Amino acid sequence: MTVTEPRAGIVQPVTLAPAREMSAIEPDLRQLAPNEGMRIDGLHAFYGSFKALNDVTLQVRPRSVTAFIGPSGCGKSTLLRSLNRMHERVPGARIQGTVELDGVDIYGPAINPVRVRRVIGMVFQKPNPFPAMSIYDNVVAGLRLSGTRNRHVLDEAVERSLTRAALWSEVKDKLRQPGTSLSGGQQQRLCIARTIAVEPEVILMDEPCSALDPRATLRIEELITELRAAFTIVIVTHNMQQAARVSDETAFFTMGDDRAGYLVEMAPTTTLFTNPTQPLTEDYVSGRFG
Amino acid sequence: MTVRSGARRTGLLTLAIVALAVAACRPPIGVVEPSAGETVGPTDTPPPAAKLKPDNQTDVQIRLFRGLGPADAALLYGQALDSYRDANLTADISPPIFGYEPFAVEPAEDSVTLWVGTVSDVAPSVAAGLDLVAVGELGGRDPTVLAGLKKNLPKTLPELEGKTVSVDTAGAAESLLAAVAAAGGDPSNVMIQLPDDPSAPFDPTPVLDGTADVAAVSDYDGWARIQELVVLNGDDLKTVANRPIGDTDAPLLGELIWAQQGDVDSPSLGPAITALLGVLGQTQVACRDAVEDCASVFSSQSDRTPEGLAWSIDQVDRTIFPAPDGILHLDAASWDRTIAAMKAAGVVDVDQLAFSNDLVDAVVAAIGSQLDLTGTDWTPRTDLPLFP
Repeated sequence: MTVTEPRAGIVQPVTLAPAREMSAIEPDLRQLAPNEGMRIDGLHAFYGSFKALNDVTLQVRPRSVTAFIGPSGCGKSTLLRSLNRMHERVPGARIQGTVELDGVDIYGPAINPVRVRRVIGMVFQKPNPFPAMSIYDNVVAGLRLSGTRNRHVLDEAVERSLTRAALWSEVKDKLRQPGTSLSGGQQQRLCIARTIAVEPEVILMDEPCSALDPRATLRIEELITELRAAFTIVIVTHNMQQAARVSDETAFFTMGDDRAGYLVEMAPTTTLFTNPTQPLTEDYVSGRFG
Repeated sequence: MTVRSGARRTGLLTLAIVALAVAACRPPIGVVEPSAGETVGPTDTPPPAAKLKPDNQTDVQIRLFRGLGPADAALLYGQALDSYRDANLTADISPPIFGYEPFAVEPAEDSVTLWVGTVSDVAPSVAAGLDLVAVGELGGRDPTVLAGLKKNLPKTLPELEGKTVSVDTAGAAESLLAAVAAAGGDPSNVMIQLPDDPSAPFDPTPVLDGTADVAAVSDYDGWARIQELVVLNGDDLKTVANRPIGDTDAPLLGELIWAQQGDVDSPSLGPAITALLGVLGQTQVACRDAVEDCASVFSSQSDRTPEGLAWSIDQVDRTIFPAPDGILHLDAASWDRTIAAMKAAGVVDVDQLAFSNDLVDAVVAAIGSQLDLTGTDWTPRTDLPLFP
């Protein structure tokens, strides 16, 4: 959920024409662009007059898993939504600072936020396959909306995406069955397949296992580990063990006296959990607060 | 969500057989040929009857602004009854997909795109460079109500300032804010919780666990979901309540059907839009007259029960009927009220939107008296409780 306070202009104008600056992070041109990951610099996030995030600077390394952890209300989900311009969908919400992908400021004036969200995909807490669609159609829904109609191309995308999502072997003989016929864990992997079918560069995951049982959670965690070879992944989780299991680097956030979240410490995951430099981090990872 | 007629032929054919068996007395659904000389509607000069089956097979992309809900039941009913196929159409119904611009259109000579949404849903189309015109109603009036724990419902709308309101869609937010403004409050001080995933069903949990103060939701779906979750938790339904947010005697418009003006005027695509409206008019009547059957079909695409959906579809019908000028016909006074209210709520570009009843009137003339398009004698079902 996203929360806002004041609402002024309700409609966010969008630009349909591809912006030149955006070309550096267009999926089809990504091969030509250096994969530098994401750089967040001096980021402040607001809901109206309320500051939710205070002066965050960090680097998300390419083709790795970065975990955001911290107590409720520390702004980690707000930060996640700032990384693909979802934050601004909430009228009255805004940011200060910069967010770059491969050196391109995704908040630049010529950047189309809709195109940003295609390059920086998202997996939500609850799997939500489209109920009227088959497994096959769920995977290619985005491609079809992009105008891809060639059956051969769609078939290839389905097999490739489901294979990457570690679901192909389980569903290859029932691609015409509804996506909702799958188990909860399978549905989440189907949603991941739908996300990666359009070849994003970055995948944001907002507590992707919170609605799953332990066995399904383990399968998703294995999948995240496999996907990092091809994608840059940022995951928000309340589960410190999960962060320790799946991530290469972990950023710990907490809340200041003004209720704004801030970054306490970021380090390689093993280091952060075994040898944190900040007492607040040590208190949190050792379970003394949060 | 894309429901492709071809891909789902076998399953839908089965559904269609079941549906037709259950509702054997229902008027025939499909292509109604115009009756020469029929006079329909209140005007002295009847509009020309439309041809409800274009010569060429046409793909119709139907874009939604939220996941499928009870108001869309007739859209799916048309799939199950093969009404689109009979009208020489292939209908793809697409919910909002994260990262995909609903107004991005792939121009094609044999494909037309329609949108189903409120005035505030489609207002950004102006900034996207589209010239959209409302060609018919899907829901008769704005169904948004303020709902939640009874103890948290404010007595007046301005009391919502500083409160957190969970909404099921952006359209519900705009309706609420318009009502707050009309009641003398400052809508910019109301905090709105939007769903991250635009196609996800409404989650009542924040309203019931206190994360949100109240919710602005449709009376036929969000409100039903709140009640269903209360019962599922074993709590007393008396703890929750809803109240209309606007003037029930002068309601705003609900979901409308939108098309690009250029497509409406196109000799090749215009007839397909008319045919689509013809299918919708007939399937809405069919869904009204066979609620349980329609709900049964829809339940395969929903996380709710057939019984709950039957209640919801009946609630949708209450927003539509009676429709004195015929189903799908847009009420001009309601249009003006809605545009004014959305402007007051801060929605930009709404005054650049337009509506036309030309196609709907032609459809109504074509169907004539073969179906009860006005629902003058229709009465809400009292035997369809949300919890049987």
